[in-house]
Amino acid sequence: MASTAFAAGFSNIARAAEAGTDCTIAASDVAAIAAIETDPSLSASEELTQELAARKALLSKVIACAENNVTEQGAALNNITVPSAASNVQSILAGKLNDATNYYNAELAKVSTAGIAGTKEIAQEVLSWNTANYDPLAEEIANLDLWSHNQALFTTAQNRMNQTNNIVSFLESAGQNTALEGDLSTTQADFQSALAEHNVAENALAESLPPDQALALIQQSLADLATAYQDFSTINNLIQTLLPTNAN
Amino acid sequence: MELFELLKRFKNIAPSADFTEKSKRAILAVVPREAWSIRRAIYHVLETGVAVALAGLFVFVVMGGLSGSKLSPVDYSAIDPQSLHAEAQAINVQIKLSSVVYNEASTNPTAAVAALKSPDAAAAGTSASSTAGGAATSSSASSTTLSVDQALQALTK
Repeated sequence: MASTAFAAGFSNIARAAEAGTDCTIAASDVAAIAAIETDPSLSASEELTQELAARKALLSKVIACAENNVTEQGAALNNITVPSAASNVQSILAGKLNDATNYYNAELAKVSTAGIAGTKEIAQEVLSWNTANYDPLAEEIANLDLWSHNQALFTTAQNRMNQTNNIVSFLESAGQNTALEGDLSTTQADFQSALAEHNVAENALAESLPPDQALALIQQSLADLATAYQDFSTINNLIQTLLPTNAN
Repeated sequence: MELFELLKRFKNIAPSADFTEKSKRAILAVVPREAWSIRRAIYHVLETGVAVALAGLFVFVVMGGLSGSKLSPVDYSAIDPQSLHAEAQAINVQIKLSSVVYNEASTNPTAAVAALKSPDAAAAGTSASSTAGGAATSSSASSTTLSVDQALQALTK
């Protein structure tokens, strides 16, 4: 179900990619429009005709470039590796990218029949839509990418936690050590806190919470994980003094 | 006849209790000498070798000789400071990455608007600047590029 939606989400994106738009928008393109407005050699009608043509051409190119950005985001999203439990997040974002492509196509169709005022209105509409929809969507994808990379860090940390538990159990079988127990307890608590934050961040992504909130949760999980690693360092130093080992 | 009587009395002769005890101890103290054979010699050599090997293995284990081995009851790699440091460094890098705010979609209309209003200045490459909006600035307007939102902002004017 999710994979079907994911594939459908990219059908339009793929079509946009086929367009192969050159997305270098030069400041000189914008300056050329201003130059027409201030050219004293042009009559009023010539000025209007040339300015309209220039605005339509540039606006069409800019909207096509917006579609290209969606294509690139789709490719980036497709490359993100997430656990199966979080794959629905990927599908939801792909669906939103598909919506973005549809929106840009609709706006692009309006350009051909617009006058100068119309092109300004379309530009404003697309700009506002980008701010309200595309920018947060791009941030959501960036957050998912960031979170997916954290997944590997948490897997490694979980292994370290398990190994540390085993070593402490081994040492405790020879004799109780309250300092060791205390350090292990602190490490476990901080690691569990980081893991909980990591899972909360995943839920925030799944529920499409504002990207800033999701990012804050992801950053908090990383900060907690860094604290857990300080604990690992502390308990390792203690273990080194208790365990005869050549693991230097 | 007296001879027969005398022989019958010999049957009643017995050692004293003290002599019996001493004799018993002396007999038990003697180690019986086994007959020498090649088979028995090899057996003794092997027996001694195994005993020495077991003692050596015990000392090896006690001294942490199995650390890092799959035979070890615990995985000592968990307390390797280098791997711990590497993992902690990876987290620090990720924290820094997370601080890099996604900014491609954010707008910085300043450069585009300035170019629209002052094409000469834009041509001189003095009005447009590169910021979080995604515009790349160079020494000339023709090579100054705008982000989508910057261009849209300019086209609203």
